[in-house]
Amino acid sequence: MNARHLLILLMCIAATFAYCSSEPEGPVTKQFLDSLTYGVRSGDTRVDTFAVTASSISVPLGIGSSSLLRIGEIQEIVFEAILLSIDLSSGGDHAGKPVSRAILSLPVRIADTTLHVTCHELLLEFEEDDTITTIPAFDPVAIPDSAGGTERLLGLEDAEFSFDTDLVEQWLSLGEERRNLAIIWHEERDPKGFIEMHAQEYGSEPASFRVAFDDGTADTFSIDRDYSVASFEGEGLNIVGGVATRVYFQFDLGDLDERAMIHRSSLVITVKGEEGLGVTPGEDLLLYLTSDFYYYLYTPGSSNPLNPAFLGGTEVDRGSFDPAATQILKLNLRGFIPDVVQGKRTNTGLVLQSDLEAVRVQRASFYTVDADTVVKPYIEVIYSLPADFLGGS
Amino acid sequence: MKRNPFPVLMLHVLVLALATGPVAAQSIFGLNFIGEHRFRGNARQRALAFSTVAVGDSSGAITSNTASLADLGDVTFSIFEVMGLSHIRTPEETADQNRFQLPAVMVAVPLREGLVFGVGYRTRFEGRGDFSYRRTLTDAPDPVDVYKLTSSLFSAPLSLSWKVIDRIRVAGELQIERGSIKDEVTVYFPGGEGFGSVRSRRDRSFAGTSWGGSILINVLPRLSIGATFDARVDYTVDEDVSYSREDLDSTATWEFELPPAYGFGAAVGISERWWLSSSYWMREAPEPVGFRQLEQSLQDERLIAFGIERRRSADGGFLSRIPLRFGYYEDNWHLEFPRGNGVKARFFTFGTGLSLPNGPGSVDISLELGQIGSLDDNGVDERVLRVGIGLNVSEPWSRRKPGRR
Repeated sequence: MNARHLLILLMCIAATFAYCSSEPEGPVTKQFLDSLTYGVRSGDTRVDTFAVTASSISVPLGIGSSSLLRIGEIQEIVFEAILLSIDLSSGGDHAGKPVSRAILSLPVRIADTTLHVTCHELLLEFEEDDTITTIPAFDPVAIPDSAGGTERLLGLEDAEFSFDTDLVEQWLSLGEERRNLAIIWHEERDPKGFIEMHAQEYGSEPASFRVAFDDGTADTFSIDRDYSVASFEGEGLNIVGGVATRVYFQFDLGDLDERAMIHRSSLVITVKGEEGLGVTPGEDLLLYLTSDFYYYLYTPGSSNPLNPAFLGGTEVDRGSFDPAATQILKLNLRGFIPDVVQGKRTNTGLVLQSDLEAVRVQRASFYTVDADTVVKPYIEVIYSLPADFLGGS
Repeated sequence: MKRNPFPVLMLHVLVLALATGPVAAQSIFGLNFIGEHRFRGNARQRALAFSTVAVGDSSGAITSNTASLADLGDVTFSIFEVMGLSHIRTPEETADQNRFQLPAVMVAVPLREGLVFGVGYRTRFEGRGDFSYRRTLTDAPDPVDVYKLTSSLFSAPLSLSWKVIDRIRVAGELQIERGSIKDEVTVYFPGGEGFGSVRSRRDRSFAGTSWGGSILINVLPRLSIGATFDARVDYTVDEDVSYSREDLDSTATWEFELPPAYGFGAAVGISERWWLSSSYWMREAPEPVGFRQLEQSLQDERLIAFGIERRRSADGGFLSRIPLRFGYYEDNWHLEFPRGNGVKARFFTFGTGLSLPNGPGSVDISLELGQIGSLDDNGVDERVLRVGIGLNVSEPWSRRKPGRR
């Protein structure tokens, strides 16, 4: 036998053993674990839940820049007025020219009914970047139409408002750069309905103001600023985009085992699908937006909602869900709870908001803490205790 | 010029042994305490069931009796690796396992005739485990506990063996004792979205020194006796316990004592080639410091072994030239499982060896077939087949003289 043969023999023996598969040791080691002879035992793994208090917090915020203007009500989100700013400098110089006809043309695209509205002149200018949550100061005397009436109907077939010609003639003669209007949903809100129309950001068929003169000429003035004034009138726990309503959760982890090593912690909330709004008809049919509700969960810089730091903080989680489907959501709290348990972070609670609250009108509603145990919100912490290393020194 | 194949062969074997070393566990019982005890010896000693305290060995550096190294005339390198297949049973479950043990390595350097210095590495105790259990949890996915154990206490002996007179050899050893036992438990949720795993880990680092002595006496040409003594090992143990949460971490230092061990044996030549040998070895039960769960569950460890060897012959055919070795040993572990029921290992052994071609040295092979524990006494038994391969190669220390090899 030479060296090569020996080497081959040794290699074959080793390979034979190496390729003999081993089965799991677990089942046959169980006796050593159960008897504690093997000096290591995994700690208990537990699921603990903690009650929360929850409240809705309104944040002053409106959507100025939007592709659609809205008036009416949808899922308790009330659009009480549309603000329009007519750029009178966009037409020619018509000072002193008698006006024969003035029409405000509104590009209504979606309407489930005809709403009663009045048209008022705003006393102050507005910008689309402004935060407008209530109708700015306006002349309480409505602008009359060509027949002298002030009540107007707004709908798919009623999208042009005539204006009193003397008033328009006066506007043009004053030489002011712009006139600001508010189309206000009648305070009785009867009938209810919801109307959407192109905003100037939509890019085509915007609202316009057309004026015809006695001399046979006509001019069109652009409306280069518009705004939907919205508010939310629902009760319970809601996060609403477009009117910036957030939910603030507070809780106490005092009963959590101080040695807990956390696998996962969740804010568990149940969506009331029947009250949710993922997409308005206009967003669906005209903008082709999805109904996904994008949420943003953060731990605020202050637990005082009046403190500006409350509105910002550290991100905990973000994601999306269908607000129109009743479902239980378990929002992953990631490192937040471990940090709180280890004293690395102060527990200032959690704030849930729409991640698109300044962009889209959406609503998600949740069962409150007064609801049945199965659906009310709570904090769930799944953790293991440290392993027991028996023996010691 | 013909190339000497030994260095290449030695390198291959070394790489093979080291590569396979950390693969898997030792005996399933080695999960407990400080692991499974490994007795000294190469494939020849194993094939003779460790009955070799009084058996001299003039070709290898890994022996049961360090005094035997005094017979080495050349620089000798020895390495030994053992691989095992086992079938583990409990009343409810079975598992087949294949295992490799860490290799033992020893180099012996003759300083002058009859005075040999040795240095090497050998494992005293080792254990290894990697197993998992699934638990059930209400209102959450089921977690899985993954246990891992890596345990190895080893010695780096520095020995001096001396042939006092023609019939008497003695040896002294300073042993640097090191090792660690690492236990880890990880809990994770397979398939659980957003679930993190948590880990608990204990690292025990052992450090100490000890000494040993041995003697080998050829009372008659065909009768030898031997004895070994391994002094108490005082380990300083640094224990670090760490968790996924750093604020729970802790450290401790304590002392662990491994009591002294004694061994003696005799070897009798029935004829020129046939030899009987027997050994007895024991160590008192250690105090379970650091292993409180084993209070009153540790006993004296005792080995009793018998072997018979037909030594190699320079004449005759292939089968006549190779040695044949048989043996039986019974080892009562320190561990009692459950309390009061000792764990006993019983093995029948067999082996042979081949001379290395073109030079001094040998490859020895051992085969062990036996059982550790019993279902009746321990609730677990393990039927084991072990194959050991030992390699001894020698080279004169001095410059080669013309005409030699």
